[in-house]
Amino acid sequence: MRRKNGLAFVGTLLLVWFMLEPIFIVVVCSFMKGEEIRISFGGVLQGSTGYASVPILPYYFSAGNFKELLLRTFEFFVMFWNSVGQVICIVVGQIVIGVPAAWAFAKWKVKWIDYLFGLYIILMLIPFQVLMVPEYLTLYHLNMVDTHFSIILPGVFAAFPVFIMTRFLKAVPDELLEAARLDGAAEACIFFQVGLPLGKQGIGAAVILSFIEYWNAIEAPMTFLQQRSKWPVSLYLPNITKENAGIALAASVIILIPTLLIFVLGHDLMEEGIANTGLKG
Amino acid sequence: MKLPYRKSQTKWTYIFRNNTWGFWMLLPSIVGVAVFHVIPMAEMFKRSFANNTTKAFAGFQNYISVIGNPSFQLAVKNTILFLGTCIPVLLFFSLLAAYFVSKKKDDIRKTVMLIPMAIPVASIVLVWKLMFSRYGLLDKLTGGFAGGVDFLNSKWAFGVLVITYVWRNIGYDVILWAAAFNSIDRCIYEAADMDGADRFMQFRYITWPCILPYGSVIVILSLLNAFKAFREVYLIAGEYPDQSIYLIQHLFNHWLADLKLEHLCAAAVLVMIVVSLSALLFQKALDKGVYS
Repeated sequence: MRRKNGLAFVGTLLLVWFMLEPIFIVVVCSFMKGEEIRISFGGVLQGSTGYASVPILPYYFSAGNFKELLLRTFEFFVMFWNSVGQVICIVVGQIVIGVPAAWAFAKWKVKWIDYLFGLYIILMLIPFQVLMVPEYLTLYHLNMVDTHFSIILPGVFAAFPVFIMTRFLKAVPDELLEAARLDGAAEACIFFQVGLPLGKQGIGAAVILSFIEYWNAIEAPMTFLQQRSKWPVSLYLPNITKENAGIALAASVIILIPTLLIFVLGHDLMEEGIANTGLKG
Repeated sequence: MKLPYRKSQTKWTYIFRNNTWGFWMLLPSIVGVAVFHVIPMAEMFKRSFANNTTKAFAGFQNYISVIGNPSFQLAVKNTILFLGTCIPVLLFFSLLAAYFVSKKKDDIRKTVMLIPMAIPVASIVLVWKLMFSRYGLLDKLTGGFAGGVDFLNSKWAFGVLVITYVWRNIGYDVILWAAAFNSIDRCIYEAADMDGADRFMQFRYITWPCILPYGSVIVILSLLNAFKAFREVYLIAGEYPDQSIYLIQHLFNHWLADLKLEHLCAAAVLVMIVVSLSALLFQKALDKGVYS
């Protein structure tokens, strides 16, 4: 039995190492000084030689990279706040528009609603690249190309959060709604007093999954935004040379912080949201 | 259900007077979805039949020239190869992991496996370069017998892509499998124990048939996530990656840059037909999952 436990422990350690190694490396390297980065990265960087070798901890801890990134590189600052703005607008929009729609999908008993929901499922499954061109043309007609709206509006009307929230709201028992109706509650009142409190979890799961998705947005901004000054931080990728590797590493860590924070706070909801995508009615 | 409408009203006026709340709740979402997703989709169908320069109706001309295009063939071949490799690998490992992880209700390992999904690609680009470039960590490890390989810009890039995909998506699939495992009634196992069934028999005759209906849902969700692997490819290898990882998405980007819109629409329609068929399967599988 003891041997079995030991095996499981080693297995768990290996798993943690495999999953988290990239984070370890990027965090460790971001605290290195310029010279040490050059040695660690070796020939990977343009203009250096030798094999890469990453120590477990840096010899000299230094926050210099972060200082330089935050104080001197204006571009990163702009892109970071672009991302924050775009993601917040998208998530808030998805909730304001999506929750009532999800409630109707879950509880409005009309025959054709299942077909409409089927359309949402198809939209959810279509990869971005398929609708890229026609969406570009539509945004062009609406004069939205190269504005923040070109990222925000298609995001707000994404089908995925509606789908997730519908799955959760369907679990609210119909009897509860009937009881409220018998007591004379208006439908709007039922939505706010019964649906929203009981659907909190689903909304939370949708928010977390959306945040992670849009913080990592690459395809849409790449296609719809030409000006670098409007790009989100997920596209911040300078050419890595000897000189700026430290700054790029610090940027990688800062990009990581918000989603990791959201993950730590909400991974339970996230897990539940994912499990609900596949199962239960 | 018989509706208690008066004779002066038709059924439809009754419904619209008294049961319209859902309609008003749906309306904003429907309008937005129509403007930003459905109308563009219709436009795409129309354009796929138009001539590239004159915009006149051209029948299936675009489709024929798209299917004959060598870049398209390469991209389709690679995409199918990628999906055909990474999805079975992912399903196998996630099933294995879920088997060990699903026994406890809140296993920390499940959460650990989910973390990669939350990591933005931009944060790990440098690490991937550090690990897989020429003179990188993997090159150093294999240096003795492979002798200086740039794993990102050679035929090995395909393998790196598969590993990246599995690394990022394993947690997602483990959660789906674990949910399937947990939907099985524990009593069945106890009964099997009494009857003397061993571990393998229990898996073969109880677990496997019970989780199979969920399998198709998981396959389709994995497929959906596989299309997002383009993000990694783009940030690591740029617009023009090695031939072995030239995917549909690269082709689309290049055609957009060249303004070959009609070709692009025809190719997009072809991809969409495949995806929609999968979506139909998905919904069928979902219904099975609900009622079984």
